[in-house]
Amino acid sequence: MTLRIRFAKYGALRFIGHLDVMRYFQKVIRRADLPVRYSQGFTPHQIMTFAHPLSLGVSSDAEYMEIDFTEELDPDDVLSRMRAQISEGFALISCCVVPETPEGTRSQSLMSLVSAAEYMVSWKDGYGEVPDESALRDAMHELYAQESIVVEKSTKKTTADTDIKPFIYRIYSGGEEFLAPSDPAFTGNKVITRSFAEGIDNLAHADIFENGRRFFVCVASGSAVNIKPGLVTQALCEKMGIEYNRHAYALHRMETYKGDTEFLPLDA
Amino acid sequence: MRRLALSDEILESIDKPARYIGHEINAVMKDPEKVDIRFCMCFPDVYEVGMSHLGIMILYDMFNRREDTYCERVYSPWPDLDAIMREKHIPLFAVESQDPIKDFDFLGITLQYEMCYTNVLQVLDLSGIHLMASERGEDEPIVIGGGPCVYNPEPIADFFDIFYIGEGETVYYEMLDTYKRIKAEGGKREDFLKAASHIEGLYVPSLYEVEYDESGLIYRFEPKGDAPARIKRQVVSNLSDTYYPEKPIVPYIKAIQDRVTLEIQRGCIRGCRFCQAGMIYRPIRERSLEFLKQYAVDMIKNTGYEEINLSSLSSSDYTKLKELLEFLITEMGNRKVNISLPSLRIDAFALDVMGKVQDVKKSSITFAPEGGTQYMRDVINKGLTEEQILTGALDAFRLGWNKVKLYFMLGQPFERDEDVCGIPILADKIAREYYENIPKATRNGKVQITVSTSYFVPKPFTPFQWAAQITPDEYLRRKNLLRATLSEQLNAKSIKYNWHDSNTSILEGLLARGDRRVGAVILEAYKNGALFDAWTDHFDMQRWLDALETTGVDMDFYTLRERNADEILPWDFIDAGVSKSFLAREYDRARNATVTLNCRQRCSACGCNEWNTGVCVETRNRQQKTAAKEEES
Ligand code: SF4
Ligand code: SF4
Repeated sequence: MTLRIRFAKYGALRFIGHLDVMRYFQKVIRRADLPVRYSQGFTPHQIMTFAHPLSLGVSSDAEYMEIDFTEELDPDDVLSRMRAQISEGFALISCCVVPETPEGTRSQSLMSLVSAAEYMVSWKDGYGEVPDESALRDAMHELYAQESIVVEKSTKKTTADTDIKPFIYRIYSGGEEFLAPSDPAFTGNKVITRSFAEGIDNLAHADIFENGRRFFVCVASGSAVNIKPGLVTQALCEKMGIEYNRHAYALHRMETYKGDTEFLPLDA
Repeated sequence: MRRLALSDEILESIDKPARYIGHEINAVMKDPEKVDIRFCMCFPDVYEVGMSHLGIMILYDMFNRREDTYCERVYSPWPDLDAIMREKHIPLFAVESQDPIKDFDFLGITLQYEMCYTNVLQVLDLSGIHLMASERGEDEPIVIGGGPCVYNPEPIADFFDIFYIGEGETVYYEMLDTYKRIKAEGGKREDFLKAASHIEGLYVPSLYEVEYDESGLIYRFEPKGDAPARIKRQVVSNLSDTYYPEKPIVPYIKAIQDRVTLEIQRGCIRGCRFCQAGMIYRPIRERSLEFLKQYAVDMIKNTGYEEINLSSLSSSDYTKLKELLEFLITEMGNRKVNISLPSLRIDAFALDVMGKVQDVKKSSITFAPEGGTQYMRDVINKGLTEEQILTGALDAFRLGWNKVKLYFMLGQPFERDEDVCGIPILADKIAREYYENIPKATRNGKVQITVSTSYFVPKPFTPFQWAAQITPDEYLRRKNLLRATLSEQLNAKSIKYNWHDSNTSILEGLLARGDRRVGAVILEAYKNGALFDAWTDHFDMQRWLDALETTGVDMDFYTLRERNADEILPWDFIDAGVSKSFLAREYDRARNATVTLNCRQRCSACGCNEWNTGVCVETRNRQQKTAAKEEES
C-alpha cells in the first residue's frame, strides 16, 4: 500500500537539502521498523517519493512524500511510530492512503501532481527598509493591474525575460486584501477553492518577525512551470522602489496544490 | 526553537550549511547550565570527514554518560565559512549548543594525520584561543590532543596543553575528576596541568625541557619538575567490557562513512615494518562475538543506517570472523542492510563472503603487497607471497571478478630498482592469470588492474623510524622507472597506474618525525595561508617552502637523514609498549630481509606483554603448553 504523508520543515532543518531530507526519512522509517517496500537489486533502496523540492532556507507546512509498504497499515499508527523518531525541525501533519489505481493503469507520480504552491513572504527584522502596509498593498494592486509582469528568470544555464503574471494565481497581504483575480486573463481560468482563511492556517511552523510585514502568494509550481516566490518579491520591491536583497525575506510554503482548473491541497 | 550561531544569511551563502547546525539524530542535548564540565571534541577537518571517525563517537558517548559533563563537537569550518567568520568576527562554536568554544573547559582535538596541523591552528584561531599554550589564560579552555599523531607530539607541542597518549577509554574520567577537584579547590590552570601530568598517559609538554647539541641533535629531554620521565601509552585490556556507542550520531548530510561502524578488534598481529598502526595498537585484542552481535543489531536499530562496516586493521585475523559473518549475513540481509568488508585478505573464504555481500561485477578485489618482489616483501615483513596473490586473483576471476586493485609503496628502506620493476611485472602476471585461464566466453570484458604507489614516509615507533626518506626527485625517478617498465609489459593496456603527490609526503615526513623546532614552521605556514593541507585542491607547497625559509628550519635534517641507533629521538619519552630494542632488532632483520613471525605464530617479545592481554596471553599460554608437553615426552 502507498501512504501519502504531509510534513512540516522548519527551524535549523531548513538548511537540509532535498536529497538529505529523503535520506533522513529513509532512516526514520527504518528506525520506526515499518515494513517498507524495497527496490530489487544488490543495493535495494526504499520506494519513497517527494512532491516538490524546497529551496534551502525555506520553511514549510506543506511538504508531501509517498512511501510504499509491503503490508496494509493503519495510517495513524504509521504516523505515531514515525513521530517517535522525528527531530525538532520536522513535524508530521497528516497521513492518508493513496487509492490503488485500476489494474493496468500506471499511478501518477506525486511529483507530477504538483501544480501550484502558496507561500508567505515575510520581511525579516534588521534588513533595512520595511514598507508600510499600505505601500505594500498599493504595490500589489499596481502589479496586479499590469498587463504583464516581466522579470529576469534564470535557470542553471540561461537567463531570460519572462512574463510571470499568468503564473501568479493569487496574491494578498495582511488579512483583508485578496487579489484572487476572477479575471480569466490573469488566472488562466484557474479557480482556487481554498478559502483565504484556510491558507493562513498553515503557518504553524513559520518564523514570525517583529515588523509584521508580509504577503502571501500562490504561484505555479511543479515540473511544467515553476515560479519562485522570490521573483514575485523582487517585482514588488521594484514597484515600491526598495532594493531587493534575497536574504531580507523569510519564505514559508503554506500549501502545495494539485489540480488543473481546481486547486486542492495534496492531502485533500 | 534552537538558536543558531550563524545567521540565515550566512547559512544561505555557504556550501552545505547542514555542517554547522548540529542536532543530528542521537546527538546529545544537555542543559549546559546543569553540568560542571564542558568538553568540546574536535576533528580538525571538514564535518563529513570528522563525522566518519569512530574514536570521537566512542569518547563522545563515554563523556556524555557522566552527568557532570557535557561533551559537544566542532569541526573545521570550510574555507567559505572560514572567510566569513574572520571578516565578521564570529567565534567558532560547538554544533550542539552553538556556544563559543572559548567558553568550554576543554577542547579535545583528535590528530589522525599530520596534514591536519594547520587546521588545528585554524580551530584555535577562530575560537579566539591563543595558539601558543604558554600564552593561554585562566579563562581559556585546556587544549588536549589525542590520536595516532601524538606518538610524536613534539612538532605541535607548543600548541597543546596536554596530550593523551593511547586509547581514550582509560584515564579520561580520572582527568575530569581531577579537573573538578582542582577547580573546586580554587586551583589555577597551572595546578591542574601539574596534577594532570601525574595521571598515567597524560603528557604536559610545558613541563618538559629539550636541549640540542651543536649538530642540532637532541642532547637532553627532561621533565622540569616532578613530572614523570616516561609517558606510558594507555591500553584497554578488555574490549568487550568497555565504552562503545549504542547510538552513534547520524548526520543529516552524507558523511564519508555513511554507515554504522563496528570495530571488531584493535591492533594487528602482523608487524609489517613500515606500519605504525601495527605497532602502536599492539597487542591485538578482539571484541567478543556476543558483544559484536549485540552492538551490530542495536546500532542499526538506533540509527536506521543501511550499511554496516566491519572495522579493524586486518579483519581476516579476527578468529571468529566466520561465525560473525554468518550471523551478519542473515541478520542484516533480513533488514536489507549492506555489509562492507574492508581489509580482508583474499582467499577462498573471503571470496565466498564477498560474493554474498557485494556485486561481483561492480566490485574489485584488493591486494596490498606494498613491495614488488619477494625480497622487498621480506624486508618489510609483509607476509604475502606471489603465489597467494596469483591464486587469490585467479580464484576471484573464476568467480566473476575482473577488477583488481594493488597498493604499493616506493622508497622503503633497502628498495632496489629491481623491486620497483617488480611491481608492474607482478601486475602483469595477474593479468596473464586472467587471459590464460578464463575462457573468452565467460570473460566479463578486459581485466582491469589498478596499481597505486604512495611515497613512503617513515613513522615513529616503527622499525623504520631511523630510516632516511628518499628525496622527492628519487621518488619521481622510481615512479618513472615503474611507468617505463609497465609500458613494456604484455598486458600494459589492462593496467592503470596511479601515484601520490610527492610534496605532501615529504612534508608529512617532516611533521611525523620533527621535534619541537618544527612547530614554528607549522605556525608560519598557517600564517601564510596553509589550511586543509590534506585536500589536494587546497594544498600549496609554496606556503610551506616560504615558512621553512622564514624559520630557517632545514627540512632535510628531519626527512632525508638516517638516524643513529643511539640518537635521542623526539618521541623516546613515550613508552608505547614496543621497545626501542625490539624496533632496532626489526630494522636489522629488515636489512637482512629476514621475516619475523606474527604474534599468533610466535611472540617476538616486542614489549607489549606487560599489559597481559589479547594475543600476548593467548600466545604465551600456547607456548607454555607446548613447552610443558615437550618436557613430558
Ligand atoms: S597487516 Fe601489516 S600493514 Fe596491515 S595493519 Fe597489520 S601491520 Fe599494518
Ligand atoms: S609481546 Fe609478543 S605476542 Fe604480545 S604483541 Fe608483542 S610480539 Fe605480539
